[in-house]
Amino acid sequence: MITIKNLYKNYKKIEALRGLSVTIPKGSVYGLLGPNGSGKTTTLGLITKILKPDTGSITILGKDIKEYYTVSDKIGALLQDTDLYVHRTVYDNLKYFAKLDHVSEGRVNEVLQMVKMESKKDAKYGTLSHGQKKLIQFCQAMLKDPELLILDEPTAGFDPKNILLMTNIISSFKGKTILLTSNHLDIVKKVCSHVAIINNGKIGYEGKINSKANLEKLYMKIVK
Amino acid sequence: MCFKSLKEVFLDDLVQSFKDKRIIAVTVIYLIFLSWGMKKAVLLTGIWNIWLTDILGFGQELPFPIIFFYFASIVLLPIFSLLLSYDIISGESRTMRNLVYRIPRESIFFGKFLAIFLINIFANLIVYIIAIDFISHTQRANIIQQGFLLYGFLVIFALYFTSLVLLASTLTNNSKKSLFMGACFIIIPLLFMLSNTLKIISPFNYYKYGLRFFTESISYTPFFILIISSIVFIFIAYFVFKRKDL
Repeated sequence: MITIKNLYKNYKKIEALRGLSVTIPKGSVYGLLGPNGSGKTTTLGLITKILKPDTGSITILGKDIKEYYTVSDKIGALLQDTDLYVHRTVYDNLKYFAKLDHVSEGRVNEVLQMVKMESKKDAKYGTLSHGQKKLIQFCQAMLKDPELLILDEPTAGFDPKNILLMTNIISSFKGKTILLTSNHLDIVKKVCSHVAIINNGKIGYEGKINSKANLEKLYMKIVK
Repeated sequence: MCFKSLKEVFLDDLVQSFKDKRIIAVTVIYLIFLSWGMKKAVLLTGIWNIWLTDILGFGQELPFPIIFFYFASIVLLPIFSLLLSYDIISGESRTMRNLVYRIPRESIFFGKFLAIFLINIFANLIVYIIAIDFISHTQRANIIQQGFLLYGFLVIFALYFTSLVLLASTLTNNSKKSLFMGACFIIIPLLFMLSNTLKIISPFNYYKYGLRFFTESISYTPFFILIISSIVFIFIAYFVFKRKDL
């Protein structure tokens, strides 16, 4: 589904990725774990064309990253440091993205129902709380019912109720490939089938989550 | 390039511009100032005509409203273009990511550029219609035909300044910085006018050519210089935007 080989990315003098290689199998819920600044967000940015790689290759849904936009209609993403249009209503925001995704307006109501936010559809996006905004951003990622869902820290900034809602939604998906980053081991253990631990821009561990109890030890060993 | 996505970005930006308080305020002030100025200029026709046409070096006397319209546009058009366009890319740094993972950058870039350029030339069309109304009271010459060429010239200047400000908007993700850079990009060519060599590449050097529609047959070279400069700015801005990390 996604194959990354020997990926490098520098921000001026900071080496964010140093030869990162990872394979995300089709149908997996893949957790990318790692401390802050380890390169998780950079990896997702490179997969979604937000960032430009220095060297390395990415294949996504069978296509080289240069042909990303031939498969972008199958990809949904909730990325960090993003926002929707603050002066528009929730509904108008999602309607615009629905148009770009070539899906009907009816889908807007469906995704709002999924996150239990139908009552906020006429509210101005800028007036929502941080958690509510994040749920609406999740909605924009879900509009096209994507085959591949990329979620950068999907539960960050949520209260326990919304963490539960989000993990239940992710767990309920069947047949989708989901790549998510998180700092919360318990969430990864709950929803992911596979995990990679990234540290200093490289993969330290990659594999299935077999013995869930060992994940903490493994994580601490790699990121020490 | 995906034209369907380009059309969606273009239409959305166009519709949102008509709802944007800043864009409405800037456009209304621009239109009021020029209309009011021209109304006053009609009253002053005859007092300033001879003096100004003499200073500008035209052999034929021009009505003051034409001169006012033209030079007010010279002063206001760059400012209007700057205030309209400075944040078309830089102002969307946080929303841009949701677009970029969906649709190609060229669709976003050209969709946004075309929308803001259309707003600019639409505002100038209103100015032109008002100008024609005022000017027609003072001159019975073939003002509409000449005025239309004058409008065409203003559209080219609008294209020039919009592309220049667009370039500033792609160079940074901060709206305030892009406003400052855009202002510098306009002021620097103005300073070039002080040098005989550098003024060749300043757009302000070619402003007076517009007035020559009324007095003599003109060279079309300035048109091409300005259009080519605009295309160069648009493509530099495009390649900066295409390569930048968001």
